[in-house]
Amino acid sequence: MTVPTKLDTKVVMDPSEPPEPSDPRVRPATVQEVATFGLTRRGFSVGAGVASTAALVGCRKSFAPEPPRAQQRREARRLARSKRRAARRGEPEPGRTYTHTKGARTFTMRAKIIPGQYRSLRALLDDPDHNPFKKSAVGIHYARLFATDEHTLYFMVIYDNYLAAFDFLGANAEGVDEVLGHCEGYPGASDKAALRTYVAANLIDIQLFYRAYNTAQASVRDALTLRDEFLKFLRDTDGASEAALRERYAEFLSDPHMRNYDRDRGNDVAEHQLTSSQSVGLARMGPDSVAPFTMLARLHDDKVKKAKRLLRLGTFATIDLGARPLKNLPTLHFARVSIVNGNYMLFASVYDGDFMQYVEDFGTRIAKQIDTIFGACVGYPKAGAADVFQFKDFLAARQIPTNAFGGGYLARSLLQIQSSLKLTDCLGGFTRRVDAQHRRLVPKLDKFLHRHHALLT
Amino acid sequence: MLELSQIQSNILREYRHGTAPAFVHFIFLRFGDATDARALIKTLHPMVTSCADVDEGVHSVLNIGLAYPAVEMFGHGGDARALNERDDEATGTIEAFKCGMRARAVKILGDDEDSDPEHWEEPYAKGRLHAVLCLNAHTREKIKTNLDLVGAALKKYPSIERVRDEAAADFGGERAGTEHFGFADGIAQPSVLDAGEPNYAGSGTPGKRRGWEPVKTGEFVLGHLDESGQVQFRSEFFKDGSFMVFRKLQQHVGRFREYVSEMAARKGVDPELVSAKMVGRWKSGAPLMLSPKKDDAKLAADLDRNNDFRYEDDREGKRCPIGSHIRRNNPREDPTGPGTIQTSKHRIIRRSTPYGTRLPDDAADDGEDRGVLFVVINADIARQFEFVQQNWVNSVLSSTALTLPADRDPLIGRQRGGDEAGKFLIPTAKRGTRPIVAWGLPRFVTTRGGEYFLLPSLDTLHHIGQNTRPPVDPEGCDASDGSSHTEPAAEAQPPPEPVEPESLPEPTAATTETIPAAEAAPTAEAAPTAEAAPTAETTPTTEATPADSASTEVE
Repeated sequence: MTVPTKLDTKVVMDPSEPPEPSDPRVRPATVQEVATFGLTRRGFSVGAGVASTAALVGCRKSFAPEPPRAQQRREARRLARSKRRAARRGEPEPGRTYTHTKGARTFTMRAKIIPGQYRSLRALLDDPDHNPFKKSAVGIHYARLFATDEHTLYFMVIYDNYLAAFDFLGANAEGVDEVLGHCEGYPGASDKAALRTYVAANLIDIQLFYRAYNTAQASVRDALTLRDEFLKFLRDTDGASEAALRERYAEFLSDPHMRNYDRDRGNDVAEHQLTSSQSVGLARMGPDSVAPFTMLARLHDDKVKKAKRLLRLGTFATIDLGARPLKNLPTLHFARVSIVNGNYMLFASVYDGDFMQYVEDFGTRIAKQIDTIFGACVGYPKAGAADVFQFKDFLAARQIPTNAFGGGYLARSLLQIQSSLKLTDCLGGFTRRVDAQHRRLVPKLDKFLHRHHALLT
Repeated sequence: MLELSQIQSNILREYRHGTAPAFVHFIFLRFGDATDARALIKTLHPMVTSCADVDEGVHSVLNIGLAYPAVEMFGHGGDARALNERDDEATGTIEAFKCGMRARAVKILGDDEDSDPEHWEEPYAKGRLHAVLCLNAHTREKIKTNLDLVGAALKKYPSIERVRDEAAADFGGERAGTEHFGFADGIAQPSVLDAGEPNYAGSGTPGKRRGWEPVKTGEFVLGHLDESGQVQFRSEFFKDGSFMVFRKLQQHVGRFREYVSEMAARKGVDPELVSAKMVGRWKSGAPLMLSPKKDDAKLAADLDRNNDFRYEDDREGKRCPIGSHIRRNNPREDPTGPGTIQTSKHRIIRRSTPYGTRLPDDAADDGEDRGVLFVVINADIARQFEFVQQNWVNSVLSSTALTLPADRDPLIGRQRGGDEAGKFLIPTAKRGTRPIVAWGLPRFVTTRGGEYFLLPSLDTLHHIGQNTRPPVDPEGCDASDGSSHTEPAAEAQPPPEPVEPESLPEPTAATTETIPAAEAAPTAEAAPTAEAAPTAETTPTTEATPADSASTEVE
């Protein structure tokens, strides 16, 4: 990765996201991203130079609380294009889809609860039947709501597009207003402009944001569906004749998800009406699904500064310096860390399955790195995360119940998502080389399956 | 050092393939009142065998397991409760033990659909069991003699209901040590530190180089140092005991054979290979990791070799598929899955004996009930048995390779029907050949019932029989001492009094003997609530005389 020297160079936050030289008009990523990047150990002088430039233009501290404007503009252009296409073909006008946004971002909003209303809000949130996220939402990975004892309400969302978060809130105005109505100055979710101002005023810094995959929610869902379809194809053609295989393969190639994937690659395939591009309901979690974990831990006063710096360096999550310990966790989808109230660490993550398994992964795979971050907390076990039981107690004692949680694909594990994304990628190449009439379709397919067998399990 | 004469014999003895007893009999009991129950335990106590007895050559053994309601009935609920409040880590165990298996079956153990507790057999499906008597022997005559003895003892106490008997016997002959699917069972067992059993290669935790370390004692015996370097369950009541999981698992042999041969026919491979890949071992017990191409009876018979392998050379599962039964349940140091440290915290001792008649090799399914009586010994039910069942058998195996996102254990996992049916992937080592995918796995094993039991130490059983308290361990935690003496009836009594009055009147051996258990107990049971707020009394019984005698003696 090249080190940016000028601000108008496109800076890529995540290495898995290739730079796009094809579109020079794209505005650079927000200034703070540059700053964050510059401050890594790539070279302090460069970092300092960029940081000072960034300071001049008003560097924001956290990751991406403001919408990246480039993203918005690209979205607008795409929308206009598909509108024109629809007009040309006489089809109904498409709505905003967020399909093409790149990767997940997040914000955390903290709102103060109106004095005297904490108890009624608590009662509302603790009611298991109450679900503020009833309506569907596009481009939302996960969202959660919880209240802490300091009479503060937090709303966290992982989104593809900043505006999608407001569409989501607006769609759920009824349930959300009921909860957020307990907060000071809340304007109501139906008034989007006011809501945006309100949210922007209440955002808090996110010191660290980790994502295990950096793909738009619709693409994730496409990939998951595509993998299911591919497995179904394999199952159907198991032991079938070659003719039947070719026929079924042709059918599979015309699968809208397959073509949707092609479209992402720039192929001019008409947009299909797909389930995955459609709205996605946010369900309450079941026993067999992804779960949220939220923790609020007090930091040792003398360690706050160091912890902040460590988190801000970002080596844990965002920038690939060969040391991305969180990547070693096979059950962690997203994680966010903020320092709130001066000396409290707010840790929020989305993980798969059993809590004990999750804690053990921390303790057995990345114990050292976790110690450097959580070690600043009061009451952290002396032996560190390697002492799994003490570490579990430490986490459990500081856990905050997440009162409402929703997501776009709650029943899918991280491994499933990752292997789906990878399979989609591999299949894209394969299908381009081998079509249904290919002379050596069967051996080619065998070879492909042999090579990528791990993605099929 | 372990006090082997305190530890019941089915915890650490005769669980390996080849040494396991051929005849197994379980008697499940419900107690009517505590007096009779205590008396029964007192009667049976001399018969209960310890590990030391087995070492001396006793091979027909009797063991007693108590479920939580019995522990509560004997007034030791406080020990468990105290543990619950004090010892965060033990919470999981106590919680599991308290709730019993049925309450945790659907959500944690994955017993849904056919295995749902609603469909369990009678005594397991309704109400709680109180105790189990486990009789093991190597010959039919021995077990018969012991059964008669126990039966006679049980007849004396009409309030004790003999709810159910479960009997199982090894097939014997050349099929000795196998289960209904035809596989040798019970091979990879943990070897326990200080247990006085040989440490076969492969049975412990993989060491740094080639060696294998025995698993720490505390993983299987309560009150000892465990893998996390802690000692859980210090209270004398639990010390040297262990937890036993009993499960009755029905095997659908016809379904299994049919599925395997159908899969093999469709893919043009040997059915033996398909089933071996599902298990990870050939029928004789020879591991695929060491003998990937064909069965090897000689290797299987060699106890020092048949388990001595690691998965480090097989990252892709080309020899032993990553999803196979043995690789899931004991991942060793698996580089793609949970590593050594994680594995060592989830080891279990298994003992299973087949019940029902064996289905002849070529016969069609006759619809008879057959399966195994499956017993797990572990120190922490939640961390060991339940964890393995929940995370490794029935769910995502934590793994950094992109493997096993959705599949479950092909042999014992819960499977869904229809489109969601599980599959099992068998990668091949030959280049350019597609992996074999076994689609639409049905459920081969159904749960028919089960319960969690505590196997107390012999001393604890003695104290239960005599209705006395075990002496307080001077090094034990104070908190547990404080509440270990609270009666179930004394719940209302708010804070346990300071420790001083309790530690004083420790029943010496003399007092222990003088208290007539049969007399002391009934009042404790009959009038627990009548005594509204018993002051922090010394002896467990609220009755006047023994308490008085105890305190006067001390004074």
